[in-house]
Order: sequence, then C-alpha cells, then structure tokens
Amino acid sequence: MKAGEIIRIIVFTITGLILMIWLQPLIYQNRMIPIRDYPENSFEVWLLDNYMIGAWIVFGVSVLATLIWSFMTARARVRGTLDVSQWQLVWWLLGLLPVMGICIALYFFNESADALLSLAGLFIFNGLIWLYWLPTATSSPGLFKHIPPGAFLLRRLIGS
Amino acid sequence: MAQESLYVIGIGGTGAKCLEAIIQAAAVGLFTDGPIKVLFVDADETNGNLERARRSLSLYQGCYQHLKGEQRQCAWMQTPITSYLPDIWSPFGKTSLNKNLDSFYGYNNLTQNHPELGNLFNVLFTSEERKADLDVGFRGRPAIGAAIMSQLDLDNLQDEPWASFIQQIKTDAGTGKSPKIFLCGSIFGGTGAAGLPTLGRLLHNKLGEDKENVRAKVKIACLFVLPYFGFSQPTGNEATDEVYARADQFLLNTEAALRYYSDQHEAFDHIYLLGNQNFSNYSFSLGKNTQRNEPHFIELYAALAARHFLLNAPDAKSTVILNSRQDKGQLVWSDLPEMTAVQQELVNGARFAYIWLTDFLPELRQAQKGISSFQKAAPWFVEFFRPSQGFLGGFLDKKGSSLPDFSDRLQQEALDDITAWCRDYLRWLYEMHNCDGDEIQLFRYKTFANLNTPSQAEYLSQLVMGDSREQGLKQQDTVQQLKERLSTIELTPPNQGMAGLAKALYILCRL
Repeated sequence: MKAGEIIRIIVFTITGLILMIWLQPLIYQNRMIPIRDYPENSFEVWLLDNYMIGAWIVFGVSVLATLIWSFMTARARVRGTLDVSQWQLVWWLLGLLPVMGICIALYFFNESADALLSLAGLFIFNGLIWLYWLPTATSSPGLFKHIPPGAFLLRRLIGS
Repeated sequence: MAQESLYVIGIGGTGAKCLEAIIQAAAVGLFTDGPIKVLFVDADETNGNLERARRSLSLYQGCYQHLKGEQRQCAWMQTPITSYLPDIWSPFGKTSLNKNLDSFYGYNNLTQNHPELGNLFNVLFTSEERKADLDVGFRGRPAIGAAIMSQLDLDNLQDEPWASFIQQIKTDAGTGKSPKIFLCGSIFGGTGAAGLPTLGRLLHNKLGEDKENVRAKVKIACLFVLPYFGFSQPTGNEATDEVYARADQFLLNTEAALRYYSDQHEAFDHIYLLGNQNFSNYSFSLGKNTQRNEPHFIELYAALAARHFLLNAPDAKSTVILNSRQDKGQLVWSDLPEMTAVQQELVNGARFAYIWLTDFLPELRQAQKGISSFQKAAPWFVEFFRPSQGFLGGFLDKKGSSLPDFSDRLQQEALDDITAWCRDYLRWLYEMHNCDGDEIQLFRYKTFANLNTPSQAEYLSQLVMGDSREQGLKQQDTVQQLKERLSTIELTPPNQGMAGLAKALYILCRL
C-alpha cells in the first residue's frame, strides 16, 4: 500500500472516532435530538451504558472490516481483471460486518425507542460510510483501487 | 559522431535468415536509432526463408509506425528499418526467358558462333545443370550461381532497387554520414556463395569509380556463414531431379570458397565468418515456399556481427577477433559477445512479448466487450485510454478526456500490430531454441509454445535461464506488480493509447 492510502485510512479512523465518541454524544447531551422515553436524570447512564457501548462496537467492527479489506487486498495475488472483479463480492461481504455491528448495537444496547432512528442513522453514517466505505473507496491498494462502489469517481476526483 | 546508416544485403536463403535475425535484434534495441536499409537478393523469390524474413520486416514496420516518437525512453523499435521497392532483387530480373543457364547464356548461339566457348561451357556444366530450372535458386551449386552472378554489371543496373541503393549511399556519404554496407549469406550453398563476393566486388568498384571516391567514406563488410545445417538426400519425386543442393558437398564447397577468399577479399573492409560444428538437420527442399528452415542460433550471431560492424568495428585492418562457445553442444548467455547488453535487450523484448500475449492481450480483448466494468478492475487502463464516465462522472471528472478512445480504429490497429510483432519475436526465439543438435539455454522457451492461456503469465519470473536475481526479487516479479507500476511511470510521447501502454510496459519489463 502507498503511504497516502495508509494515511487516509488513519485520518478517516481518527475523525470517525472523534465523531462517534465526542461529537455525537454532544448532540444527544444538548438535546438536539430529544430522547423523551428515557428518564431525564439518568440520561448520562443511557449515554454511557447504551450509546457508548454501541458506538464502540460499531466503530470497532467497521474499522476491523476496513483493516481486513486493506490487509487482504494488499496481499492478494490476482492474475487479471476477472480475478479483481471477483473481489467486489468480498467487499460487500465485509460490508456486512459494520451492518451486523450496527444491528447488535441497536438491538442489545439501546433501551430507548426514541433514539432508535437517530442512532441507526448516525451509526450507518459513521460505521458503514465514514469508517468502511470512505476509507476503502479512497484507499484500496493497487489493482483494487476502483473495486468499492463509487471508488472510480472518488479516486479520480481526489487525484489518487 | 556522424549518424551511421547501415545497408544490409541478405543474399540467398541463409542471407534472408540473417536479415530476419537482424530485424528481430533491431526490434529489441540492439542497434542504434540510425536507419537500417535492407535488400534481399535471391533468384528464388518465393523462397520460404525469404518470405518469413519479409513478413518479419513487415510486422516490424507495422509496429514501428505506432511507436516512433521524438524522445526515446527505451530502445524498443528505435531503429527505422526500410526496404526498397522492390525489396527483392533477382539476378534474373524481369527476364521472361526460361530461367536456366542455357537461356541465360544463349547456349545455342554460343555453340554455333563460338564453338570453343560452347565446348568450354559443356566442360564446366553438365547438361542437367545447364537445363535445370533456376526458379528455385541456384540449387546449392556455387558454380551455377557464380555463372549467373558474374554477368551482373551495376553500371547497367538503372532499375530499382539498385539505383536507389547506390544513390542513397552516395547521398549519405555526401552529407557527412558514414554509410556501412553489410552483406550476408552462406558460403556453402548456391545464391549466397555466388552472390556475396560478386555483389561485394561490384559495389566496391561502383563506389570507387565515383569522382568523389565515395568508397573511401563507406565501409563494406561481409558475413559468410559456414555450414551449420544438413539434410538427408531427397526421396520420391525430388530424387529424380539430379541438380539439387547436397549437404555432403557443403564442406567441400566451403573449403574451396575459403581458399578463394584468402586472395580475393580486397572489396571488404571487414569479414565475419560464422560456423557451427553441430549440424542441424533440416528437411530437404529444392526451393520455393517449402525451403523454410527454422531460425538457428547462428543467425543470432549474424545479427550480432552486424551490430559489431555498426558499433564497434575496429578501424585497423588485419584485426582478428575470435569468439567461440564455452561448451560444444550448448549455448548459454555468456557465450554471446557483449553479453550484458545483448542479454538485457533480448530479455526485455521476450518478457514484454510474453506478458503482452499471455496477459494484456486477453485483457484488452475483454475490454473490447465494454470498458465501463473493465476499467474498474484495471486501473492501468484509464492511464492510457479515455475512461467511460457515468452521469455524475461526466459532470465532475474531466480528466482523461483528451486520451484516445479504446475502440478507435487506430488503437485497434496498434493492438493488432504490436500483438503480431510479439508473436513473431517469440516465434523466432522459440524456433531458434528448438534447433536440432544444440541445447540453447537462454530462455525457458517451451513456455513460448502455448501463449493462448492467460495462466501462463505466472511464469514471468522464470523465463530467463541463468537468472541470478535473489529469490525475493523473483517473487515480486509478477504481472500484478507490473500493472500496479503502470500508473506510476512517467512517459514521453508516445505516452497515450495502445502505443503508450505498450511502451510503458516495455520499460517496466526491463530487468
């Protein structure tokens, strides 16, 4: 992998972490997204016992999927375009990891029905898009650089 | 240093094969970017060896057209090789007479008007030799060839190709270039043995008689190929014809010819002699299209002799340079003169041709079915060809819009021409390795036999015999690595389209 690709993955991971662990809790704390079905006085408990655990799960699983993809493609030996194309399936299968992480986070670590929709949206944005799709679409190595959906245009736009 | 142009005359079947080797060597950059002008001399204009050499020339020229550029980053296709119109000259010219000695000398008139000459003619040539149809060449008989060739007179040859040939040499000499003439042919057969000394002498005289003494500015060299092949005597219908080349007479012919040249070599500034102890066994042929002998490694040496003459020939006369193999029966890289440079270029060409045919050609054929999905799995593709953009991409991404369209006719022609050259080059290497009697240990040539399966591309790192690279480097020597590096290479024109892709790949294939 090129240095630029590794740096991009690190940048997306760190900014994703900041989003999930600092910025998004602020959104809930400031009631920008109101949660009415949870007692006001134990809101911090929800944040710690529900949101943060779920966020760490989504973060971990999404970063893991990105790392697995990067590691596998950096080491993969392919013969031609047909071989490379088949890796699209691997990308989609790895994409199920963040999806599963989101499902686990929402099912096991959310006791608020009010928060369900917003959490799902934020986790999808953070986990699936910010931590999996963006790093892989901008930083897949070598012949795999255009395999993630949208990567062809994205890589050309960022001149990579 | 004045740019030197090389004029090569291939005489007879062996001469044509030497020319074929020179064309292949020039293609991979073993010559300079100065022009090479080639002329075939053969009485048998349909000779299979000649036909194959002409085809190699035509394929080279087709490929060269796409690759020529102002700045050269690699030696591939750097040499402009041109031929004349016509590119073959036959000593029988446009004669409509029967092509035999009787007709050529007007035997009937000779015996009637000059009976003493007629009798001498009868002593020198048997009735069969006089009447033998020379459409198939001089049938391995130097005496017949010498009788025909000795009638040549360049002063009276106003027709093409000689008029242009002489004129170009004079022009080159007049403009400060240093023309070099290289004649090659066999010393043991018919056409080469008879034509080579005669043409050399005629050119020497013709250029010397000029007021400006062009001869002093021109170097002439000849390459005599000593016997290196044999064949069984014919059977069947061909056996009834009594006048044909006899392999058992090759050494005798050679001995006589060498004795002659020990005195008669003033026409040449340099003389190259090439031979091989192990005779390859070829199928017998009287001539015409069936006289198609596989390339032999001795012809690679012939090409290297031409290279030596062009680049390194010593000015001092009477310099003798010897080159021989280490072990009889096998040829390894270290047996080749200027091994480092020669190996590098031959290997570069072979690696490129191999990868092109086993990997890039099938891939590009795939692209012909539609590039939008192909380009996603082949990032190197959009470095050279205009990408297919979707609706959003059309708005946002203007990069690559100046690149040529892959489906453009010119690009497809370039694909065909480069592919044809690759096939021809590997065919030449393969057949040369396959020669009978010697073990050629330059390439693992059997991988060249079937180039239609893409999976063969994995043998890239094992192509060259005696490859001393570290194991780690060999493991990294994969098509995948080359494809990944295609995006990073800086190219001077031609740097787009099929020519740009081929050029980039050629550069990356260099070890």
